[in-house]
Amino acid sequence: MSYYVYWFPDNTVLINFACVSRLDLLEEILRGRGRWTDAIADEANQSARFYPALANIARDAWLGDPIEVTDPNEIMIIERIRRAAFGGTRDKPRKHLGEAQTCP
Amino acid sequence: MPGETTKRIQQLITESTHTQTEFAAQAGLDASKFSKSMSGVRRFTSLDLARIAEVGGVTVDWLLGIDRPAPALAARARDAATSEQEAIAEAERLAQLWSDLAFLGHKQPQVAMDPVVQRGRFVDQGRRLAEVALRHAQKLDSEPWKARDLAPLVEDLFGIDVRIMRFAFGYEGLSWGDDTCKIMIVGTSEVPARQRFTIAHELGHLLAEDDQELHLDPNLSDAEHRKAPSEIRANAFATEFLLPQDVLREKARTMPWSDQSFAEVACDLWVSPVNLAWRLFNLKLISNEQCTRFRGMRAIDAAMLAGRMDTHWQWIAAAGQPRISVPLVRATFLAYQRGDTTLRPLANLLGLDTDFLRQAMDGAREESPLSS
Repeated sequence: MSYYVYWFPDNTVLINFACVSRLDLLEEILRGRGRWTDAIADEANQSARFYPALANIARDAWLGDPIEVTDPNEIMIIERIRRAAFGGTRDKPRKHLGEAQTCP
Repeated sequence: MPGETTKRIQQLITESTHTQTEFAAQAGLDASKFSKSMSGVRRFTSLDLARIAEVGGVTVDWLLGIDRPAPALAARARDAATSEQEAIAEAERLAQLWSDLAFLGHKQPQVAMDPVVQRGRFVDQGRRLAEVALRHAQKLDSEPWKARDLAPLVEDLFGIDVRIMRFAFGYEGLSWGDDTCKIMIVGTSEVPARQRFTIAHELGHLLAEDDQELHLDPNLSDAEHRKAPSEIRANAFATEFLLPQDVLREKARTMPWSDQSFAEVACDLWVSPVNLAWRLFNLKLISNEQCTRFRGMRAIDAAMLAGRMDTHWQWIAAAGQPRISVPLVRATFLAYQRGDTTLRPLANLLGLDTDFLRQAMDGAREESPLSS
């Protein structure tokens, strides 16, 4: 049985590479195995105001299309993980959402 | 037919007085995608719901149709005091944390007590409940009436979290019970015997399971509030729990009542002289004249007479300090230790910065004075 292993860099990882202008290195390390979710893409989009190179990830699509979670049960679990594991609060539902979406 | 999430989003749009397109724009969502989701052609994503929740001032759980009690809204609706809102918000925060921890497999420890049949007068119900609670304590080698600090005792013996917090405008206490936890929130106090009575009173509410979710006690001295059956029961519980009649009868049997002996008993049992005087009188252990005389004694007078001034000041200082619920800290740390959570939930609970907490745990900030 063969299967693919995907890597989900969160926004902090993306910023760390962007701030030393080495996103190309991250792309090389991932070798097409990198993916991101809509919340990570959204965070990266916000951060692109400070690190413009982050906008290139979406343009060049080397993390693929942002993965969207649409199943209500899965959304509920993500919300639980966001609060329980990452310390997010109910009144700031986007805080730590990307981390929660990519938590195994 | 629209699903529950769509119905609730429609409710938000209606309440916002914006058009659907304006609402979508406010949430930072693409109008076309939003329209498709509202008509059922496309499903809302996790990020969509987070954005909608932010704009609508609701939670993602609510959008998903998961209804948790929202007592804070009820309190706001009747224009409650700020301190009450603060207390309710804290109860909600801690209850949410227990609920989330339970999701990860870390549940509030449950304590099984003998069942109590609730019948007869409310005052008798409260007394019987206290007797059962005291027997439960006795089995665990504990004598609550001797304990100055009830909070750790309540947590250990009854599995109920006790959070003590400082309110800008003062607040007595509240109790919260749901499927995953039992919690009491109590205000700091410059009158320690009163705070101790409040803790026992809230314990009475929780053991009697008064109100299914939230029970508010902004002021235990309020005449109207005291008339409610659940208050009569909780007060009777607290009285018997803190001043068990068997203990008082034994003391009355072995000592003659004088100012000195009365003051010593008040200090031994960590109660106010006025409460002790009434209790002894109601049990017919002192006369009306003695009750009148002892009632005039202040707590500080009793401490002076009994030679317990140092402990009296220490008690006042302790009652003025906030306290976090220890079982919740324990469970949150365990969840972190087992790799189920990051350090953030524990840092949030303790009100500390995550980096500071990590350094504190690593001991990195500690410079030994013995190092060369």
